[in-house]
Amino acid sequence: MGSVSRRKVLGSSVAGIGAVAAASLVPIRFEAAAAPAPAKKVRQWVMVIDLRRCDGCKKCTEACQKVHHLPKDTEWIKVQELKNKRGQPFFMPRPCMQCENAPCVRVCPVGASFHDAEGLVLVDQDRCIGCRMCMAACPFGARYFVDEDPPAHVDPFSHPTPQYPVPQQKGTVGKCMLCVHYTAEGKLPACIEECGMYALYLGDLVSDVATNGKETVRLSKFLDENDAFRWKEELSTGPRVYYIAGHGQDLGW
Amino acid sequence: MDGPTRQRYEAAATRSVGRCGPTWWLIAAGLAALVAFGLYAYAVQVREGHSVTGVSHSVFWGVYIANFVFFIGISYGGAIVSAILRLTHARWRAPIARLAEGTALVTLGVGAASVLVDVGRPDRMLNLFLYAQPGSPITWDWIAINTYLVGTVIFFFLPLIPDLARGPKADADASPTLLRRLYRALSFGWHGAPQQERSLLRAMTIMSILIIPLAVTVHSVLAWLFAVTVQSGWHSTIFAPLFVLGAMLSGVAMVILVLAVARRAYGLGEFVTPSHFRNLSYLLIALDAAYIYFMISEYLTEGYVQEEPLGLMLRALIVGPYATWFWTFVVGGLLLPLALVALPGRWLIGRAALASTLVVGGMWLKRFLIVILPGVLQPVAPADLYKPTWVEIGITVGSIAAIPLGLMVLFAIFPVMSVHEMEEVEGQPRRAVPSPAATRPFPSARDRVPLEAPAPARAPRRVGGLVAALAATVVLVGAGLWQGLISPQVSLQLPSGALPHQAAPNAVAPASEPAALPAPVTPTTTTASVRVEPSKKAGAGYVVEAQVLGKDGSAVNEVVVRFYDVVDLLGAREMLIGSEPTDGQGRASLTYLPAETGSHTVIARYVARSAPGEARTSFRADLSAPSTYEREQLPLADVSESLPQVAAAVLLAVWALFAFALVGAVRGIATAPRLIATRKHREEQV
Repeated sequence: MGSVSRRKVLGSSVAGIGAVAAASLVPIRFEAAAAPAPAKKVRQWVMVIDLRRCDGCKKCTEACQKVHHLPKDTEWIKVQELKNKRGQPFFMPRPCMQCENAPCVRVCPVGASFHDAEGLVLVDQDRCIGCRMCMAACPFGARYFVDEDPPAHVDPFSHPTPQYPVPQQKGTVGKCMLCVHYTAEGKLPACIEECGMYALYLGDLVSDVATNGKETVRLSKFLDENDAFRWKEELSTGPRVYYIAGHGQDLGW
Repeated sequence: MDGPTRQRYEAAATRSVGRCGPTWWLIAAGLAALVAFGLYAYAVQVREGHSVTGVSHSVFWGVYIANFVFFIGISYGGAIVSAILRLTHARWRAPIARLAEGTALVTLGVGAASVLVDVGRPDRMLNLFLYAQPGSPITWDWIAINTYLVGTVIFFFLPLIPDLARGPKADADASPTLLRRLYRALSFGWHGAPQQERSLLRAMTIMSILIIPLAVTVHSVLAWLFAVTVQSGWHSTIFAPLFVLGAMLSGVAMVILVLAVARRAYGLGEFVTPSHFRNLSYLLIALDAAYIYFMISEYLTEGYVQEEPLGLMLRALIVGPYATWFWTFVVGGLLLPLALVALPGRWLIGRAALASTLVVGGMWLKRFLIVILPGVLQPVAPADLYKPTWVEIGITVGSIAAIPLGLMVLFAIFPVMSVHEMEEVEGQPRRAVPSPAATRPFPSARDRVPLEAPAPARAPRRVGGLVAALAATVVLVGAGLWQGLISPQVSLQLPSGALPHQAAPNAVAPASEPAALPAPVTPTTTTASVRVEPSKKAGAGYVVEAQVLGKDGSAVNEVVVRFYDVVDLLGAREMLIGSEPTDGQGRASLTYLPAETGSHTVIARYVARSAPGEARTSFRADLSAPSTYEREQLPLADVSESLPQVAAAVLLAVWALFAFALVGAVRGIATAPRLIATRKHREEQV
């Protein structure tokens, strides 16, 4: 025992600290899934839902399930039946909120959830490991686990992409992607297209426009004049879906 | 320890090694059948998907995650019993340390497997390495668990080396050849030289110090898996300490349970004495009481405010659908065990074992409640209560059976008690012959176990101090680097007041020419014109003015004119700007600030004298001070970007210390000159 081993220990300690210091200086960059190349006109999509108009017919849900070949219990846009303070029922469609500070994107261990250039939260089902941490993180319950093989699909040769996740892959998580495969082609998302009450609007924050397919409005003015709000805004996730209540609705938890 | 006692001790420690009698095979076969059933259930799940489990959209995690937290928590027992008792030089640890460390190792392995069962795509686990995201709690988790697993293996292996050098059996001929070869290979030529003792002691001190913060980290990270979400009931600051405490509680209970069983099964009654159980029971009482205190602290603060939906959650727990389970846990898993071990009386070991069983079961129940509770309480999506299916139960039973099976296999290969460690706590017999009165390694049942430490060797204290200093330096250096790296950028900016929907006109190309628009309607009775000119107020945009005149040129007043701008949103659309009534001169005007620079087409529409009319014009908008759209930023967004580097530095230091301990010990042992004769000779000399 004595000086030799002490020197050894000290030397190792110094070396260890040196290694630690060196490691700290190397910037560590972890790459998320590559975002797709920006389109010719970069939008920043939002959705506006006018609860005064929704009559709970669930055509939006049906259209969504048809377009994405989803099973019955997978409702990427779910029409929730709620009651206001006076006990009167009302309906509240709940798509994915496409949060700007999306907790699902932050907690994904493999970067399978990511923001595209237009601010949409997409899922790369080729990378997803199915840990469901994103489902735990989502305050809106917008994510759905694919717990069995998808039903027989019209196009068996189609391979799902983040922009067109059809068919869904077993063991991964899927969610509303605001029909980015439609908007890229210049079409409105399926739920908005099918809504007979024109309660759903697709909006663009950049050009400040929103449309429900029939009427086109100035987005900011429309939101201001109708006291639009965002669900669970206090959680700081920056949802990109605005609700217009008008009838004393309380979205609650 | 006198000669015969030592011989009995060695015999008891190695009795099970390499000898698997019919009872062993019978029990092992039964356990293996349960494990096989679990594997079959898992195969069904892989084939069919998670639809065969009870998890649903609102209860997305179930039994597997509860198992995961539970098993990893149990493995804490080995760390706390072995490391803390070693660091405090508690002499009574010697006969139980190996069992505690083995339990830690086996339960940790089962726990790590439990999380693999839960993921939807186990075939893609490599993605965790390939695309690791530093911000994900899952990334923290697998790194922490793997680090802890390696640490536990080293912690189990190092004190084993001197025992391995003795060979599997006291009687060399009785041991199987394969086992003898394994022992010889893994003992690295240990022969008890002072240099080897020093190397081992140093490595073990490092590992003992390291394993405690590691265990705390692992269980905290497990808690953060839940606590960093915004789910009510999970998003709680008390979660990490609560999980650490729960892990310690269930871990110590598990050690008591394993000791009680091993005492009978391996015939260790002479060495694993009631005082061991009494001491561990003290630990159990303290942890149990602390857990109750933590729970009261959690539920009192939440229940006092009853913030939505936490109040609902507590109601479900206390009087709602989960009340039965919750109170079973509180009474059966916390209060009853406390009473069992705290009250004086006979049957100490039996009571401790029963209390431990209750604690272990209760802690599983608590983890299960934690995992499933927030999911079923989404008032907006009332779902069926979560019910585990046969697949989940089968996998759980298989996992539980894997623990005794793993321990049986482990102690069929390695001695169940550490012989060398017993010599160590006896007071270094090869330096001075101990006086019989000074060493009482086996306190009798009536004895109070002396908790004071024997005079410790100087080496571990010095090395321990150095390691502690090194750890402190790492933290300080890390903190300093962190400060130096990011402090220039740190500015606590409050979120700007800008509205999120303020548009960025310069960020986009000019609107494309509107495609097919309805042909202008020409009214027969009125004509209209519309013009656009910049507003006199700077930054206010453009004044759009329409004038409606009759056929005769007279002004048409009190007609509402609606102004539209033709915009491009998935095709050309007429966006309503606003509407104004005409005045006495037939004029209606409003101010319009377009969102985008470029050419615009403004349409004025009205209905006058029972006929619709319209006018349109084009203008080019030039926005001098365009607003920009920026994504909302969290206040600490820039700060958190630098945290991975600090974490990586600490992680690297931990792994460096692992390597230092392991390589140092092995090299020190392997290179020691054979100055001292073999142990047998030594004993003869004594």
